[in-house]
Amino acid sequence: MENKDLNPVEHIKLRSDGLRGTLKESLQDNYTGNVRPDDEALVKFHGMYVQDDRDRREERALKKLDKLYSFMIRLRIPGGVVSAGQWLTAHRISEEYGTGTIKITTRQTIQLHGLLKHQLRDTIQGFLQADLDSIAACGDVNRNVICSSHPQVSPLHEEIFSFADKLSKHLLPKTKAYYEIFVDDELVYERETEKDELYEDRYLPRKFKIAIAIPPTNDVDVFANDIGLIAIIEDGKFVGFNLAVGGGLSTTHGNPNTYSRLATEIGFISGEENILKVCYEVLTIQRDFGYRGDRKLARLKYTIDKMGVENFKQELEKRSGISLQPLRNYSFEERNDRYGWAKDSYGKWNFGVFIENGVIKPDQKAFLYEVANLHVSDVRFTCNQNLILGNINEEDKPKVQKLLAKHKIGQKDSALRVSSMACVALPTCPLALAEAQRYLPELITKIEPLLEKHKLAKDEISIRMTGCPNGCGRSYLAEIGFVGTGPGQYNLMLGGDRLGVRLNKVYKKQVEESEILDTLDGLFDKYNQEKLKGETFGDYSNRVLFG
Amino acid sequence: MLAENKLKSLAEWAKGNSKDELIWASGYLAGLAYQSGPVAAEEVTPAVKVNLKPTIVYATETGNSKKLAVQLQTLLKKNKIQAKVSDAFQYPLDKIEKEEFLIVIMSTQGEGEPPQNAQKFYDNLGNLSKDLSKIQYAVLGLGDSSYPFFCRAGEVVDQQLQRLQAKQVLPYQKADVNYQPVAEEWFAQVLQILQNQGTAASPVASLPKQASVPDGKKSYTGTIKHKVVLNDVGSNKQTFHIEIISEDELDYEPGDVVGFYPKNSAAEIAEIGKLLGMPLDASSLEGKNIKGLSKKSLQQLAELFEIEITEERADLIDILEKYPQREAVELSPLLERLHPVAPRLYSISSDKEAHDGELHITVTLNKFHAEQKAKKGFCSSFLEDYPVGGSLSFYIQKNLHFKLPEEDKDVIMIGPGTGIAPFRSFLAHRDVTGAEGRNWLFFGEQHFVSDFYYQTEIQEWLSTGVLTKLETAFSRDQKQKVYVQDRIRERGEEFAKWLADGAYLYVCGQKEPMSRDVENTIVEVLTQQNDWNKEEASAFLETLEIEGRYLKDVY
Repeated sequence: MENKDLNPVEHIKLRSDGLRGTLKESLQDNYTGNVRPDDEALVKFHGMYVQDDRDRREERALKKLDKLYSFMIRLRIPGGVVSAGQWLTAHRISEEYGTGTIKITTRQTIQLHGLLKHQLRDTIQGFLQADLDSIAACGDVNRNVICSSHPQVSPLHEEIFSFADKLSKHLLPKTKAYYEIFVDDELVYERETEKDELYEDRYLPRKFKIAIAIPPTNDVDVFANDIGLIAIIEDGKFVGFNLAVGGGLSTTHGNPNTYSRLATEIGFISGEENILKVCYEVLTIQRDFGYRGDRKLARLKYTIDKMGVENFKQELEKRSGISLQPLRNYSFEERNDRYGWAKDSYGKWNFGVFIENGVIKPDQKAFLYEVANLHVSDVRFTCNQNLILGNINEEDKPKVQKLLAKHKIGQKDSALRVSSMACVALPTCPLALAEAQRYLPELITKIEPLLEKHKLAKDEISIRMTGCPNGCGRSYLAEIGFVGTGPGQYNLMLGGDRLGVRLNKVYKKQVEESEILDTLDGLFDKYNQEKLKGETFGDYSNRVLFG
Repeated sequence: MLAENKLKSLAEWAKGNSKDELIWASGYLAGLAYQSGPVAAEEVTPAVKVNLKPTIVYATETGNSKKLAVQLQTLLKKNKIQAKVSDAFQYPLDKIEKEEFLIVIMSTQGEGEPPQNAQKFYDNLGNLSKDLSKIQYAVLGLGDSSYPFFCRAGEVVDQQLQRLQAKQVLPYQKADVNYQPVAEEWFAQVLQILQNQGTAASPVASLPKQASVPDGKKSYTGTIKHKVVLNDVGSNKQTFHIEIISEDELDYEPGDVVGFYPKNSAAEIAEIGKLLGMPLDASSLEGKNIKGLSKKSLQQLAELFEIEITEERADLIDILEKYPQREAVELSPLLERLHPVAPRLYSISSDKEAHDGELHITVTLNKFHAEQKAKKGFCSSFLEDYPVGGSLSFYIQKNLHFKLPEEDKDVIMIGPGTGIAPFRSFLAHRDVTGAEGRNWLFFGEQHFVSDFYYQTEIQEWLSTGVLTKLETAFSRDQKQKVYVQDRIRERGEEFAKWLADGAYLYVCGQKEPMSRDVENTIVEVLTQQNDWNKEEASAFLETLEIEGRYLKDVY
């Protein structure tokens, strides 16, 4: 591609000197809470986004104050498991800096919001002391690798789970800019030692996501990822992965060239070395063939559709020197998280806690702080933005139970609510067109009586809301999905399945709350009367509305 | 600034001198510069040998009297008259009879009171019983004619010295806020008298009693056009940016101040009426000072109400509440004992050209507790409550001591909190006039997010280059508190270099502890950077002050 055809972010990456840019100077700029324009793009590679409180813009302008800039920092936690000690660190840092809220993301990690620029170095250093970092948590690189989080479901969980960390490390950028900018004042590494064979100076054209699913659970929404690895278990042994490539949900309103796409399964791979090698070469193909002219058309899904799946597969086999084997059989049976107590195959106890939209409320936070102080469990984040206290010994279970009772944790929420998901959206996300995290709980409260009325209160209908078409809330894979189009307005998406293998479709465009409730009321009524035996609401909608 | 050949010869000369000699010479040259100023009313007449040894005693709150004392000392020295200078605070009154020629420069505060640390001198002089008939003396009083008891403290000192039989060689001279021209004229007369060995050269009666320059105040009526709190959510402060317009052309320059006469609220007057047991017309009390009454005023009230008041300072309403057993009184004797409200002064934060002839002020609502009661500052709450669109009386006062230098001079501005006000005016002015001098601003408050006054304007000035450098110190954004003086210390090398290169230094904001801490830090920085001892650094700063290159507007 000609240099002039590259989109502006490509130029920023190329001239960034290993993702350094002028970030050091930006941190020193005392007149603004923001970083310099190029650095806004670069800071993402270090796990941070700059945001501004859009609710405060107008009033602050009158007060002659700049926009209220703050940073979101997202940790890299492959597989989403931290120790009790690491949780305490996150707790302490969140109390000291930012809004005080810890948010569990749909990619199995946690993020803090509202950090001020001058707090970033202290924050990052604090996390590093607990062996946590935010490297490559955002940006055009392989991001946090996610993995099914339910150890009780498969006895092979631990073995498969370890691939999350191995892949993450294998695909990390080589630059030490993170340490240089946020930890030491001195130059600690020479650039020559940072030569990056994978990312070169270009990095990827766009973000890159990898998920590992352990059947029968598809809590990771494996087909929504650039690389989906589906663990194949035969005769009680883990034998390898079915490899799926080219998934991605985000679209752009009014841009017909953009679309959601489920990942295509292209073959079976086995053996650790082979698995790492094949995944690595998927990234190099995307690096070399991905479209760098327009970021909206840069994801792997477009690269693969342009090349054709067969050509892509051949290129991958050529680059890796590994032949993909025929796909193996597996089946998904669930996608939701499990709440409450469950024992895993190692005899350890786990307790699933529902966290609405991943926002840990003050009472939940207080509970988690006390539990972590016991040091009898780890803390696991799920892709449904919930949390599991894992790895608890039989004899420690009563101590946790006592705290559960004390803080009234685990009391029953509706089936719809525990099957819900929303992205951050307003006021901080710069992309948001409509509310999500702040509004979905309220909308669910209004839908719950309708479900009661139609005797559907026990149905775990998946409901998801995202504030813009980029799909962080994975609304395209919900039975009832909302994609924000403007203030108070959403595209109502129906017909997705419960397990995350079929995309939903737009049923009504730009509808407001009253119409949403009327529509759902009517549909619930018809569903009750017309559903086939065992047919989910998503399957019914797909059959009747789009069939 | 010097022609190349002059600079060369000066550098040549300097080579042959020690550091101490150079420092002495710099002071000497500064003295020469002062003498060649525009108001050089005196000429050196070395033929006259003066035997009198005058002592100059000054009593100062803000440093003006001290500045004048040093100016007079320099002038006399140049005329071969060695004068001692003493702060009233340290002056040994028990040996006053040994003086030959006493010059007192006395400021007046509040309700005609002397500066705080001169109170002892003032009281003891009043109680003194000595024969001072051998002493000749002259008193210069500084004050503000907007206040009642204009220059009263100096007047009392003059009367006391007369009572003790000291010989007055000049009638008591009052000087208003623009004291400099009056003082210089008065100095010339003092010099002349000294050169005549203590006798007035011309008859005393012919000396001017009033300043020959206008007092620099002009009254206006205007309207509050716009009012906004600059602080954002989460701040502990409430600082108003207020824009005032007038049908008359508002005539001011950067550095000038605006005076308001706040009025007591109708609610408070009604409350006082209730406590007094009589209906009160709002107009009766709205212009009377009923807040923070001095001990003297309280004593007068105590006599009127026939009660014992123990407070040192209190509001009228508190006294009425606290002493219900007081005698019932008529309104008129009460009104007689209350003084009119004194005006409150604020630095103007706009530039008339840059801001379309408007006048802006930057006022923090002063909130405090007195005797466990939450109180608000009189004028700041008056302005807080004043309706937008309401007509408002005020006056503009020239502040000749706080002016921008010539266009090409560099300027360092230290203005934490509302101390930024005149510097917003400075920067707007330098922006609109395209002044070439560099500008360095030090600003501080509690929080970056909520208390960065005029942030977007400062960003604009930085991006256009009007503001050369900016230092910020937000005290409560980190565990360890950081203040503007810490930034001065961090930038010590450059700070000293700017001063060495001729930058003008301005400080505006709270007198205590800010301006003192800043000054101490500057001395520390000068000591380190120039390899001076503390006295040399202080002397350098004092020279800057006398030369008008170190200017303070502190309160």
